[in-house]
Amino acid sequence: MNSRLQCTLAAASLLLALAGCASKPPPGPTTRLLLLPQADGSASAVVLRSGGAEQKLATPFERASAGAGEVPRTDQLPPDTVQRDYAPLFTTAPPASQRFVLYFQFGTTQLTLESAHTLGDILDSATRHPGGEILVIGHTDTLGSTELNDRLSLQRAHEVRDLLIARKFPAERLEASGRGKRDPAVPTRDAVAEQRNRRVEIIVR
Amino acid sequence: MGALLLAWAMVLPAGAAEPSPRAGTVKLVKGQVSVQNAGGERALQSGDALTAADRIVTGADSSASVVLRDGTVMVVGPASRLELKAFSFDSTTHEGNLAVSVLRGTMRMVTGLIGKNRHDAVKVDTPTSTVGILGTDFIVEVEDPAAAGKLQ
Repeated sequence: MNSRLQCTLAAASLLLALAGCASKPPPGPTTRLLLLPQADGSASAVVLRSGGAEQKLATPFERASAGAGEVPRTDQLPPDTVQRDYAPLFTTAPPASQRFVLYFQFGTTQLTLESAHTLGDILDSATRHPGGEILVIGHTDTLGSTELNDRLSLQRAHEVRDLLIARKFPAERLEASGRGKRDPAVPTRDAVAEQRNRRVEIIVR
Repeated sequence: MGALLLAWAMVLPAGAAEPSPRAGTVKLVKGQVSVQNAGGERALQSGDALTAADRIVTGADSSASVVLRDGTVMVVGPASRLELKAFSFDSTTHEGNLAVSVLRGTMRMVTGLIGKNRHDAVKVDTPTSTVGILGTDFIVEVEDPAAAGKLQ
């Protein structure tokens, strides 16, 4: 065997070794990030950071993938492929939350008659939701300081929470909070009395 | 007047929010799903509380969903391992922070109130990458060839 042939064989085996390396999966885990469309159709984006690079995804069903230390590469998936390959992530999603609003008789902590009836609907809804929770969120109008309204809105929420506990809903899945004057139902200037803003919002989820 | 205000302030706790160790509530559970934490490992059931430092582990053909207190939805797919590293939420101001690690398998996240105003308050990472969140609904997948029961 001449030295030239030896050299060629050596080069060929080196190439084979390199090819062998390249066809192996990258060592360690691969991360994939997939953007889903927003429920309301609005624009959205996510970013995958890997291997010192950043890949932004802004089109629904676009995917970025990267192994350890690799720069992300992207591809676009057909929506039905995503629904099929990731089916449990769609079928195990919790049902949509349901929202109610309760009003008080003017100047009292008594619910209006109509709102008192709504309590039954709220409890029914919470029983239908798996692991159902009731969020009780108090709101005020813009009359008075932030601190005062935070307290007042929480008091209102506590009153409704106590009514639900009295009707045997488990306290550990009830959360009362007060948003004060941050989320008015009817936007007003500061320091304006507005009965429609003195309310308790209920979210069942 | 000053004394009256002081007395008023002393009666009331600072901040209207209530402290809650509960970070979230388990919603749907399908198949074999457990939670691991410093207290050990137990089966996860619908209605259970999830707290920071809990790790959710799903078996093959199993999945679970959780809603965190700020409304963030997490759906954990089959053969997955997810850790809730940190969670805090003030239900009055809607400020807080959330950190989740997807160690293996799949997770779908729909971000809630914490991420609404401050995207960087929500942190999601995997063993190899971090995810920056500018929108709300996405899937993270970690395929580890060394782990059995993976997707695909």
